[in-house]
Amino acid sequence: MNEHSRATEWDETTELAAVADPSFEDFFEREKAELYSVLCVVTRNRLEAEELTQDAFVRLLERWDRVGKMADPRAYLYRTAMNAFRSGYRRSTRAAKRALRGTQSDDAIAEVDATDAAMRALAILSTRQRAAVIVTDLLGFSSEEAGRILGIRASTVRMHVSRAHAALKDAMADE
Amino acid sequence: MSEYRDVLERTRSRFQVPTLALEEVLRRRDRRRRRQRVVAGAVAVAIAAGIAWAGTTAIRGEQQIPIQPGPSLLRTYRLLNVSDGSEAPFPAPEGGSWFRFSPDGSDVIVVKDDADGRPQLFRMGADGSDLTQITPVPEWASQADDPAWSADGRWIAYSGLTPSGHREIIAARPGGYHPPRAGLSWGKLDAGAPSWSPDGSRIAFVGRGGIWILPIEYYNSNDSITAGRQRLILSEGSSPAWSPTGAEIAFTSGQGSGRRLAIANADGSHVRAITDTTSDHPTWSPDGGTIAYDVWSPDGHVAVWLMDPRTGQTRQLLNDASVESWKDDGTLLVSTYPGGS
Repeated sequence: MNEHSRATEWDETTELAAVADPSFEDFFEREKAELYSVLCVVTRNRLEAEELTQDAFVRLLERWDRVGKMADPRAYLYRTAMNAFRSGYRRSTRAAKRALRGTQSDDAIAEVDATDAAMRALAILSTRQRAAVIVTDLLGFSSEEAGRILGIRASTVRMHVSRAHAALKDAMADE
Repeated sequence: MSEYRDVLERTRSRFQVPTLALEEVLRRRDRRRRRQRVVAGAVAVAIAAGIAWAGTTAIRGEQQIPIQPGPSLLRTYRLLNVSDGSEAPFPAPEGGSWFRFSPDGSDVIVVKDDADGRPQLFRMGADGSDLTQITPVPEWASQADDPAWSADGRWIAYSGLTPSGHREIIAARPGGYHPPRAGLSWGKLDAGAPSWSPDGSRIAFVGRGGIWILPIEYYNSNDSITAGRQRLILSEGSSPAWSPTGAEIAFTSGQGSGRRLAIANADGSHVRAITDTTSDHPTWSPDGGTIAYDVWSPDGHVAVWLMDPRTGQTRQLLNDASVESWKDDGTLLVSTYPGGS
């Protein structure tokens, strides 16, 4: 319910610009790989990243008549995915599903951890710190935009990013 | 541009995208719509009860979430002869889905939204004639989905939204008559996807993420029906499909890109995977010699594949298409998406 109300707020406060209306299908194909891989880094769990990716696109599809006309539907996509990730209820639901399937070690995450210093550096950060640095540095959103996407204040985003930069700097120095 | 962008981009790019198909998004959206309808229905029932209690009779219809599929997402249906590749058009009514042929191939039960946007069962001739709505029967269910014919063609089992607000397996005659004990499953399992054993003595269905078996008994010269105690046989699984021999149940195991087809003995024992790629919706041919199923490719397309369950041999039948159901003459009804071939 909270997630829905947050999405509604975003709809109402986001300026709708008269840009070309790309089809949802094109948008999905263009964005799915990046969203999935970003969520892999943030969540450090491929199953969760896949679930969040699918769910985020489902929500966009349901509102595509409006979202497709936004100046930046990509921002809405990431906000939706991050909203879903923050939701404790959804996390617990997915955890329950994983428990039903039995615990699986995520070999792909471990493999990247073993070969990528930045991934190891990000692993020691909080999830919110990881998300903040990904949304700002990698996806190129400003602190204000990142704050809207992550549901936190811009100053908090900058604080998280600063902490993440310190960790990444140490990691790159050790490489 | 941040000095950290390149290093983060390199980290991100190490994760290859799995099977993330548009079709899966559409299926999830449809499941969400159904859940929303369940909630809306329950709210409507609560509101109606409140209004009735207050002595008011004006009851408005439930709210629906408006979904407008783009033209590129529309399916078409056709019947394929899997032996010689010939095909025939299928007269699918607009908005219909989940087409299931009667055992003699003369009739079809289809799920279609009613005027209020709620899924209901309709019956029609295999040539598309005489489309007739056969649910709801409010005493048993306000919405109906996932119909399955019994092998003798005398009964339909379906997933119905009961007055208590839960989905249960309901029995009805193909004409829409509901017997005195039409409610078969119980226990708020969110029951769906029923599949009859060939002798009509059991129904496999999905509930709470697992697969259950309902023993079925008949009385009054088979005009009425009742169910015994349901039993969980597989703690995880979906899309159960009883083999024509009655000895095995094919089903989908796993979630997301980890979905695989598996076969278990009819009591749930001896589970063995039969596919190693993302696959779903196993459907036995009437002679039991073939299983048709959907395969999801890493590039995001769904295709119809066939498997000989005795040898494990497989072959691809169609691109950009999904399995619907088999007809008694061995032809396969498939839905194709634009560009499918």
